[in-house]
Amino acid sequence: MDPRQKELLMRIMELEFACIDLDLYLATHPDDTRALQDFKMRSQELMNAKMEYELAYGPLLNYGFGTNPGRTWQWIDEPWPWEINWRRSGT
Amino acid sequence: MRRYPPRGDKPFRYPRAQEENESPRERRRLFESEEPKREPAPSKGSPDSGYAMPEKNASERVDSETAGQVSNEPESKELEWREPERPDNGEKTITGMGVESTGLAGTIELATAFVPWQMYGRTLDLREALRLGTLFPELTRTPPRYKKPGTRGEE
Amino acid sequence: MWVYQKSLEYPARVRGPNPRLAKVVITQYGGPDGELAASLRYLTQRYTMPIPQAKAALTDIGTEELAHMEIVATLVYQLIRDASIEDIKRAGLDSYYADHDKALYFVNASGAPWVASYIQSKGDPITDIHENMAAEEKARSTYEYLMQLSDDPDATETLRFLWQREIVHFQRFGEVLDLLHDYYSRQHVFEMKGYDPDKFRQS
Repeated sequence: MDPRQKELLMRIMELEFACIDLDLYLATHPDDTRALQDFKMRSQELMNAKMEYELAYGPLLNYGFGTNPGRTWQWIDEPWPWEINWRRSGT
Repeated sequence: MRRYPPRGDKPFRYPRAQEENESPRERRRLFESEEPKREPAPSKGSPDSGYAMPEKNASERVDSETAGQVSNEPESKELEWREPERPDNGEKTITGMGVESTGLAGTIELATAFVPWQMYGRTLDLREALRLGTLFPELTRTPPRYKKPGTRGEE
Repeated sequence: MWVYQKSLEYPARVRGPNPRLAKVVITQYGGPDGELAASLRYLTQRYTMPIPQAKAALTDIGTEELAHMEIVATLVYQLIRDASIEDIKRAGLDSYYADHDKALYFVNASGAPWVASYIQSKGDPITDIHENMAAEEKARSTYEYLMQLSDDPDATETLRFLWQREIVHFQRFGEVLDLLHDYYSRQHVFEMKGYDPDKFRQS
């Protein structure tokens, strides 16, 4: 996996994790405007990062929720999440 | 009408029920004193049934003020649920860090689990949040290095 | 519906083949307090929740648990992927290997398959949320034991992430519980026979 793809994917995971935790917080605090503001900001950043990723490396989401900008069906492109080596020195 | 938790952008004040005229429990108590007390139905079921009022308590509840109305009530053959008598000490609040934290239900009740509400504060740097497993520093803990049941993460 | 996203929630990593560790970590895949049980428990309890916050929390946490299941699967897969038969035998994973090779299967640490009786869906929302809070604590304890057993610092970091998530979920369920208590204390007032709250206020 090329280092740039890995770096971008890592950025997506970071943003997405923030969104997950904020989402759970908002489930029980739906009127919390500060949390909502942060959530909106982070999910916008996440959306942008995903768009950038998909443009370069193919769809992140299946069933047409993601974009497939390439000429082949990039959804099947490896590696799949459980195959990626996230060790800092790894490939 | 939907009711949601207190707003995070306003100074926090639990319980929310106080923002209205009276707490649900207060309303219930007022209501109970207004309504005629009903004679508990004669227990057809097991005398140990939780739904049958013990006779001693039943006679205590029928006070002179409402006794006349009670006799007019048709006797029900069904077992009836009555609110148990309880001492009026349910309105205590827990305060910590200057914040009333009694939960939305308004009071701390016996035999009821209660987890304090989280308030929105500082959030962690995104990379650090992913590493630690939460965006909220107040929820982070250190895993115990050795087996120490019940310590909830403190070493 | 659900949509699959081609990324993990957390960058799970291991230092090398370690079938002995895989043998115990797999309990969080298909064991009594594992992520499959957690996910199915929450997702099946959603339907009978009376308040929107509870439905949302169960949906979101149940979905996150599916992501955790994938993280645990990744750990187990990477821990046994490159293990030799000799290693597998030495680790006592040979009985698992006999049935599943290096494939993922829902079992606990001693090899018993997943059963639905690990979870409960009681219909009483207060009872169900208590079940979930207990489930989060049980999973937290399990991750603590796994961290003690782990001799792979990278796997331990991943286990720590999952451990911390249990604490966050416990907090959310605690808040849902309070919302339910609030809901029922209001409900109780309005459901009393012959009691009209508006009329009562005016008098």
